[in-house]
Amino acid sequence: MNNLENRANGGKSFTLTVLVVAVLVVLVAAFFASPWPDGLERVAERMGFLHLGRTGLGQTIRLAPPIPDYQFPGFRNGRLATIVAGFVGTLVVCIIGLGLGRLMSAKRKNHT
Amino acid sequence: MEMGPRRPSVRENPGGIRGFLLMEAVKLHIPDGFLDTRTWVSLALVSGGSIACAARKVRVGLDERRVPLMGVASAFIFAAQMLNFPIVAGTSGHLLGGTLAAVLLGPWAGAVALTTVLVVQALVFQDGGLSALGANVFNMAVLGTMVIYYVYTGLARVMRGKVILAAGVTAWFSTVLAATAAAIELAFSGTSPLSMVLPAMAGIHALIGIGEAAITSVVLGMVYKVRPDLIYMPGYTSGEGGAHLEQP
Repeated sequence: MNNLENRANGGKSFTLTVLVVAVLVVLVAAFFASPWPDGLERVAERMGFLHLGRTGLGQTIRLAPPIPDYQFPGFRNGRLATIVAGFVGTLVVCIIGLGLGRLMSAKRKNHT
Repeated sequence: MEMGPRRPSVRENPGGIRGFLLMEAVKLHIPDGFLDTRTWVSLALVSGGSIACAARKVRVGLDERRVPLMGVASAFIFAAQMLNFPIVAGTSGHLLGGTLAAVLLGPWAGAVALTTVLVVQALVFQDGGLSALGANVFNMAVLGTMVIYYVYTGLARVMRGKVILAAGVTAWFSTVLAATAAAIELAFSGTSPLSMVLPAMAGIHALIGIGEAAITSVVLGMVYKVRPDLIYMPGYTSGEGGAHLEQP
């Protein structure tokens, strides 16, 4: 039933649901994400090569990522900065993904 | 991320609250500086080639109903990678998402989806190095999604169609696989001896993999209930052409 409804409206409610879930996950992450370092960082720390992470190409060419460390600039509240960063990132990834998806299926229509 | 007590990470710390806020998150996403030049250049070339191939393969295969999924699945994976969960005291993990992408989008579109996430993370959020992007794409999109798709289909066949279980096991394996590859790359670069970094990485990610397996199974279980047609099933030689779910 649900399946048929979903397919009848072009799967829009399913798509929307996934997006809403993604947004909720961002909120959960902003409030509840563990502050502990993740696996690689922990290993790097224990094995003594963590400090190497500040060298390299990104620094050499002075790459300036606009939202470093998931803190959207201009927000004093760190949690809010994370939420905005997460929303922006989720939206950007969604749009790029959609664009690529369209690109990759449209060509198929022209394919014999 | 200002979410609680956190030790300073890799950047030279300006000190005080500004220093605290500037702390860089290092994730399974390898930062610049961990890998030596020949390693990251090789991986960049291999990844570039692999993803280009994947993109070409998708061009003939991605069916219409999966186009929105390319957007929202990537969005979900991006969001979920922000959600670190505690593993053992002092260590956390987060979703990789390769198995999710592979089972919902197939190996090629799934790899492109993961790559999208990784590129945005590196360029916009400084999560993962620029030179290391090739390595991260290789570990997570090539190994963690493309190769893992075939692990999944193989397992699903062996398990006689129990796709959710197969996906869960595959998800665990994907985490360990990606971590093992990272360890080998670090050893190749002379950053850390293999005898030390491999057990450390594999060990911790064997635990993180449990989280990956749990999340992946739960999410796919829910998708299965609502849209089973979106789950890739083994048993079709045409594979990526849009499989229909057979009843297990």
